[in-house]
Amino acid sequence: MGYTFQFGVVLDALPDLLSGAAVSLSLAVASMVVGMLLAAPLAVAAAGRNLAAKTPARAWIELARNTPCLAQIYAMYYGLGAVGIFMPAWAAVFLAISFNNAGYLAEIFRGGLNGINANQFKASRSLGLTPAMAYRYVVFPQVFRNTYNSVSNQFIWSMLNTSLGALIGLYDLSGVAMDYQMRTFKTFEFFLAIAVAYIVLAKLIMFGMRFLKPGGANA
Amino acid sequence: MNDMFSTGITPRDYWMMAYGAWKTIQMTLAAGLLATLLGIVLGLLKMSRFAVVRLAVDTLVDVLRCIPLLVQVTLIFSGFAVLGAPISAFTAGTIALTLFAGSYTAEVVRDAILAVPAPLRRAARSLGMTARQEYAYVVLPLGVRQAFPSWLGLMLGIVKDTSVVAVIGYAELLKATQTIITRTQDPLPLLTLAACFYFVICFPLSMVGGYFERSLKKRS
Amino acid sequence: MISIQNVHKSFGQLEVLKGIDLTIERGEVVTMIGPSGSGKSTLLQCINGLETINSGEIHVDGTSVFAPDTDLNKLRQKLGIVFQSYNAFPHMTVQRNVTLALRKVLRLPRAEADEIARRQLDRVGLLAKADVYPGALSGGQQQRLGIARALAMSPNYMLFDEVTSALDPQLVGEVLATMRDLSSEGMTMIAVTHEMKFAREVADRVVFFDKGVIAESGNPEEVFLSPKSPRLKEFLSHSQF
Repeated sequence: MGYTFQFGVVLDALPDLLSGAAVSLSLAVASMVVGMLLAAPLAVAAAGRNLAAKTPARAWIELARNTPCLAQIYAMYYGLGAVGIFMPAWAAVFLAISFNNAGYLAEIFRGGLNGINANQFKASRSLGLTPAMAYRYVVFPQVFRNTYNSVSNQFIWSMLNTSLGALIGLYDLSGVAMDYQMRTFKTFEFFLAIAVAYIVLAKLIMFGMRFLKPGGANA
Repeated sequence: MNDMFSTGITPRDYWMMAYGAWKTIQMTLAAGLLATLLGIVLGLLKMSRFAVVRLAVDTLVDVLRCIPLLVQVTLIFSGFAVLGAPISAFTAGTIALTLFAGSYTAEVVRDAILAVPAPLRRAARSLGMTARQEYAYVVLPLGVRQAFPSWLGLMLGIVKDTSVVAVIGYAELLKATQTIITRTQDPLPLLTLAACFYFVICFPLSMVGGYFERSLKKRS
Repeated sequence: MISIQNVHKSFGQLEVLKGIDLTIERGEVVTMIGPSGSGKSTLLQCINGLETINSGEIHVDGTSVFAPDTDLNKLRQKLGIVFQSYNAFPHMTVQRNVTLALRKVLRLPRAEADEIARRQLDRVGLLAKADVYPGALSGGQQQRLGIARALAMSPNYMLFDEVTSALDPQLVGEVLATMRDLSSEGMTMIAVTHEMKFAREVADRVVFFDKGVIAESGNPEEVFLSPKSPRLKEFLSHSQF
């Protein structure tokens, strides 16, 4: 019995851990919102026939889905730094995870778009709605409802991915734990504590998503 | 003095990256195999007759999915250390990836089994097949076809997720790349090279998965 | 007035409209009959620019539908259309289905849009269903919702594209009754239909389509009681009116 667990040091770090949790959650939410806003036009472009729009959209989607999120964070932080664009860790994490979310969500939405009857678009246009309005008010609310579970999962992923920011010095939950581990050598205690914190955050996100689910039945 | 630190990228650096890539592949193969096995076991347990077993597996899977891999890796690595039985970064990373990917695989396995139409299974039993024969000749072939695209997606996830194991000092590709970048201060070529490695492995395979998924949809 | 001049349209190799000329005056009720695939529905969707044409001209109240400087979104407000497939927006309540275009296209304040919607829903007998989702409606009710949704934009013309074809037989009557009401109120209507009895009773003029051309047209008595072309004779011999 050489080791005694000491959770007292974790309690001492509570204020920092709480602010770390706030960083994790707010980055997850912000990058999810931006990701969704980007994913909608990306999905339309990727599903369409206009090559000038389709090619860059597909490139974005495939790049986001087929390289590690950590590499994307490095690209924003070190890569853009190499061309003279320097940014704080949180900005790099925010941009990288927004990019990542947009790619995954666009692929999810693209599948959802296929499931929407083309007549829904036609009916919207017949009422004088512009294409943008038809997507905004008629098509995407239905896509969102039909892909609700996948979108929720992506939200959780978005939150899990923020932890990678700690590797470039982000002071999120993981960053705080890493900082304290170096000062106190209580790695296990701190990471156990933030593991619990992440579970709480994930449950919070799932709970919050419930209020966003649109009503009505399938078309 | 400048010369010593920013001599640019040397052949040794490429060798170091290649070695990192090899370590990425090693861990992917080890964790992929183990995650598949774990996923099958957990997936079958998810359909157990006993509610307690189902609840236990569901809780485990749920917990594993809500904790970042980075935290899981660190916990396993430091956990074994505090228990007085330290393990290598490779072992810790492989265990963490196995648990993480295995929890997702369990879902895929269960969905695949549920996707086999019940009448078909009853038909198999009505022909006099035993439960074991029913699984071997009906559920398995149909289920594998169903599960393949999702399973492939999860395996590609492992390729990318090995990068996270860098946190406990495992010098896989991205860690090696980052180490070189810190010295050369020239991130663009190396980061691009590393990204290409992942992309070249993941993109073609994800296309294959997508192809199978579409042909599956067409048939049903 | 809607004027259609020498309209041609092809889907790839297949020419579905082979030179259509037709004029519809305000206040007129025109029904279009003919075999499936004769081009009736396609023509209807060309009138509000949902389908494009290869050559010819279509004017609505003097505005060319396919002129590059025409604001189609504006033009479509004059042309209400109801489709064969119900096309209710499933994620919105019945009332919101009707208010959507009022709020977003006409930019009416909510109270005003709600009032118009409730008036139109009352008109088609759906006021009691204002707050349910379309999924809870029968096919006939969904079609009446489609009519109310189009009417809410106060169109000058109403286009009906086989609105009863997808309905169970016992639900056809309620939709036709709503359309009859509209025609007696003086609404200008163009209806593609397979309901011959309805086509005859409600129309000022009946147009018979066959293989991409207007094979015959005239007042209902002429067309139904003394058809001239053999194709129309044969077509009518299969139906009851």
